Amino acid sequence: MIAHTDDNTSDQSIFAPSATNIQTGFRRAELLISSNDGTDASTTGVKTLHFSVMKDTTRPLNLTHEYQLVFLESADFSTNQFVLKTGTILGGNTTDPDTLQLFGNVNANPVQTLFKTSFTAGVFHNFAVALNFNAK
Amino acid sequence: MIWNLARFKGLWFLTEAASSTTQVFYSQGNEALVAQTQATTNDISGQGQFHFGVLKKPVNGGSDITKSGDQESGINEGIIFGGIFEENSANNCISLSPQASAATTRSCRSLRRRHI
Repeated sequence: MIAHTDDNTSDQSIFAPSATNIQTGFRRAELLISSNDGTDASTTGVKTLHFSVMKDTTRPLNLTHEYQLVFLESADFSTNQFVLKTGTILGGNTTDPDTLQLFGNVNANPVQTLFKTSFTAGVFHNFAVALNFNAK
Repeated sequence: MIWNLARFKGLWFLTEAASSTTQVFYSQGNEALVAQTQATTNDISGQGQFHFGVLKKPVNGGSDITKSGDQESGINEGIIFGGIFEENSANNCISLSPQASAATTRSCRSLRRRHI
């Protein structure tokens, strides 16, 4: 499966949640699972999410920007409980933008950096994120 | 912060209950996944949706970066994804490798998953 943003001159990768809410600041193309409606079982109990990413050297990113590659967005859209980013993190102090960084809840103060690694080309970077949604 | 009452040797104690946690495993290529963190306290309440793809934020944005800032024209950027699936780890089972191995005690012997 390949995901890519495509924006030649027609700004095709602009998301508009409604006709009056057009996200002209972002360029985005994402896959969501159809059964994952926001209140389903995939965010209950103890679940492990697996995913792998690899650079597409024919479509390099512009690392002066911040990119979100994988994230869980809460059902009320108020936060991302975890997020895999690369590039130059807004409001941050990114020493090497060519890094994969996995953060915890972005509304935490401070935001936790759970893991980071160099975004080496030519290999798949495999992640498993074990999520214990049970709050005792 | 959630507290439990626990009784020990006739005395009552307040103990901090485990709140929602996140643990990260990582590997490259065909290597088995290796834990990079403990199960770390991280507020993952609120359910929601998983997103996989490329969300490019602007530079020089204002207070609402969804509707301000700069994006160049002629963008042709991409990331390759693979191996996306979610498994039930309620029994402490986390798949670390496609090969079931007795050496990795937390690996899942029988994998039931849908993956892309």
